[in-house]
Amino acid sequence: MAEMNTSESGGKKKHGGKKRSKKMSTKVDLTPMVDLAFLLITFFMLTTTLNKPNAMGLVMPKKVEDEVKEKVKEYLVLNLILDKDNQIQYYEGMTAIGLKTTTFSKEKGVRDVIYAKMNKIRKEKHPAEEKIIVLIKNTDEAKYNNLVDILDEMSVTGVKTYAIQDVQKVELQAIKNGGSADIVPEK
Amino acid sequence: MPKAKITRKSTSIDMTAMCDVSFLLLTFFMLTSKFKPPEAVPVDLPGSRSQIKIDDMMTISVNRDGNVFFGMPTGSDRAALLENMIKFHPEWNLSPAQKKNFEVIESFGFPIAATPQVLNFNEDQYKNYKQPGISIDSTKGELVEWVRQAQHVNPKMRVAIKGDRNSNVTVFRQVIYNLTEKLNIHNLNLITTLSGTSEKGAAGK
Repeated sequence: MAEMNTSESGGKKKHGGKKRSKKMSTKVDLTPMVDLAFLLITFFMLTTTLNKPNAMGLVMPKKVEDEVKEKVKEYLVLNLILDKDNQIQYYEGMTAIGLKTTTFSKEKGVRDVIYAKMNKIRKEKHPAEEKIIVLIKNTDEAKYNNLVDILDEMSVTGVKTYAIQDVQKVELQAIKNGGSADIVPEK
Repeated sequence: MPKAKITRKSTSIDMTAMCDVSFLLLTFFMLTSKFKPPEAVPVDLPGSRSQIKIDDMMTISVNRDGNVFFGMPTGSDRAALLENMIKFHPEWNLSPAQKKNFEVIESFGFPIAATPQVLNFNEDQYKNYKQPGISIDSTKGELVEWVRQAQHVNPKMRVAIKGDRNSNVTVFRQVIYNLTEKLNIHNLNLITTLSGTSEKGAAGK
C-alpha cells in the first residue's frame, strides 16, 4: 500500500485493507508530565537548601581577669599581621624582629609559613600537647576579606589556638622600618 | 470447549496517580519556599571553605564604605523589635502606618533619632535616602542598643556579621568589640560565600 500507515503497527496487518473507524483513546500518556513535575520538585528542593547563607563560626574569648591569664610559651607563637595589598607580615615569638612578608597564595604563601612553624615545633621535640598558637593582627589598611581568608587558613591547617588581637605599636614601627624594631614589646 | 483466552496485560502503567503525587509535592515546595528578599545593602561577600548553614539570625552588615546596617529576618520580629525600641523612645509617637513601614525594611542603617522621619518616607523617598549607617562608636554606639533589643525579641537568635570583602577590618573589629564587650556576645558567625579558593589561587599566580 502506498499510503502512510501511522496509527497502526505492523502486527495488526491481518486486518488487511478493511477500513475501520479509528477509536481514539481517551487516555493521555502522563509520563512526560510526571517527569517535568519531578524535575521542578528537584529544582525547588535544591534551590531552597542552597539559598541558606554560608557561615563561619567565630568565637571570641571572654574577658578574663589578669591573674587568670595564662602565659603562652614564646616558642609556640606565630604572629600574622594583615597588611595592605593582601600582604601578611609575620614573625615568630614575642619580639617584633625580622618581620617577613608573605601572601595568601596557595604555594609559598601563609599556609606554608604555618606548616613550617608546626614542623619546627615538632622537630624541637616539645611535648606533643603543645601546639602552635597563632596571633592574628591587622593594620588599618587590611581588608575584611583578608581576615576571612586567614580564618579559613586556620581551619585548613588545623590550627586550634588562634586569637584576633590588636596590633602593637612596635609591630607597626617594625613594618614601617621594613623588618625590625629592636625593642621588646611592652606587655 | 471454548478456547482458553490469554489475557494480555498492558505494559503501560497509569501515570495519573504518580502525577497527582508529584504535583502535590511540587505545590508544597513552591508554597513553603521563601523568596529571597532583595538585598537592602549590597555586600560583596568574601569566600571561605566553611559550610555551616545557619537559619535564624540577625545580621549586621558592613558595606564597602564601612557603613553598618542591622537587620532581622522576619517581619514579625522586626515589629517586636520596634515595639521594644518604642519603650525607650516614647517621644517618637509612631503611627500604625509608620510601624508598618518598619516591618517591611529588611535591614536598615539610620540613626535612632531619625527613625520617625525615615519611617514617614514613601517607597521612592526611602530608596533615594542614603542611609548613613548605624553608629558603632565605643561610647554612644547605637548598634549596641539595636542588638540588645533584638536579643530581647528572640534570645536564641544568632548574630551574624556580613561584611563586604573590601571593607576595612578596623570597622569589623569595632563591631566585634561592641558585641563582645558591651553585650557579652562571644559566639559570632561570619557570613561568607562558598569557597573563594579559585580566586585566591589566581591571585597568587
